[in-house]
Amino acid sequence: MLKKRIIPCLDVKNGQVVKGVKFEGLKILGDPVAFARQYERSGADELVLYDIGVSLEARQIAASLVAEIKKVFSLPLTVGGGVTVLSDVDRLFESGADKVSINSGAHKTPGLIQQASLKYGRQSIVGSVDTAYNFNLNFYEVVTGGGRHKTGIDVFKWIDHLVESGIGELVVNVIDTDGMQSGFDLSLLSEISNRWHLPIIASGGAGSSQDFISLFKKTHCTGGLAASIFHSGHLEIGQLKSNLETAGIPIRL
Amino acid sequence: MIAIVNYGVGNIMSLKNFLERFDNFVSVTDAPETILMADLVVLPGVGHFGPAMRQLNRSGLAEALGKRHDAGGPILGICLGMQLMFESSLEDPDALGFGWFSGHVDLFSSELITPHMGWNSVLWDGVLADYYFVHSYKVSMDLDENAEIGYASYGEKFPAIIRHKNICGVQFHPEISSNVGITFMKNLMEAWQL
Repeated sequence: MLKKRIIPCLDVKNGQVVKGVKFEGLKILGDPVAFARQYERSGADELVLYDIGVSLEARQIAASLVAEIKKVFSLPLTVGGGVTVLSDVDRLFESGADKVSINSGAHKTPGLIQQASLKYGRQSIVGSVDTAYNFNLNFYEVVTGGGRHKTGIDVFKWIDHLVESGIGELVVNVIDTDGMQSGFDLSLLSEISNRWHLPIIASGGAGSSQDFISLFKKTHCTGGLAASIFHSGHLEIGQLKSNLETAGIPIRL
Repeated sequence: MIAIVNYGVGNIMSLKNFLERFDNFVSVTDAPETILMADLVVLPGVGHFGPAMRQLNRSGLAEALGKRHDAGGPILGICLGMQLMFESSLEDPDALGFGWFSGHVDLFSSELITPHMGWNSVLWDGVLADYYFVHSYKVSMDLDENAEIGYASYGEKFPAIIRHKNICGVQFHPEISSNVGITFMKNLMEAWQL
């Protein structure tokens, strides 16, 4: 039976894992290679690395970091952040990434996902979307830049576009619940995972084992992604997976 | 020396990194003579059945792989690389595979979430273990084989490992299957005395 996936996410800037702290900039947490090894040992099912640096130099640091991680790490590694043109995709795959995640690049460069999907196969291309509920428009709106830029696009229409463009997996990050540790947005994730038959990874809001249990019982999402609660040790992956198993969720132990 | 068959685009660096754990010299090659010479040839899993087979034929790699197969040289096919070892695929009905195993390749039911992506269990060498899969097509076999087969289940049972003498195909990706993938590779190389 196919297992549900638990996916820690590393935000990386200038070669270091960082955590965004509201109004206070970034806190450095440590070496991504050490994080990756620790997560493989603790039973993570795969790893996502987002490069949140903005410069060309940051892009190159991220690519060499991917190569370094892949030397000591044998789980699937998805890499994203600043993937804007096909040569960004090329560079990450050449460094050893298993999947490349495209988010705002799909807005900036129409056709990027089609090109990448044609070249590498759709199973290697992850579409990532950030969304927040817009009370004026009365729909879940696609946002970029971590929620700073509103696009005016309905998330359902955008997902349709991403799927048609040729993605093999979708990460849905709900900004409203992100960082709140009060649970995933189950109604939105349930609607999305009912409508599209591709692997959907939920992101934003995980605070406890119960949040993951609810996610997998109440939606068809195939994975759950989180950062701080794993990095801080607030939720230990081995313990989470054993709780999921007790709750009857198919999981790799 | 391990040779990874390079027959076009795709992300094979991840596989190269993995194989370097088992041999100091891993060559990503499109040279037919290297295919004949290597201790182990790995046919990786990228792209589509038809274009992949056409590219292998055009470049002379298919002929080299055929010669190696006939001479009993070890070959491991991964994902699409496994599928190419069968007769044909629904993905490209006009293209012929190597036909080393009888059977064809078809789609998962449209009711299922595809690609079939993530960890799934396979019973192999008496051990049930989870491997990482990423695929939308799977092998449908005629069951008259002498081969050893390890099955996985997604909607229905399908072959995840097939091995006969020095030819082995795996539908999953050992290179991203953590310790289980490393153990699988070690055991296979031991069985083949590499």
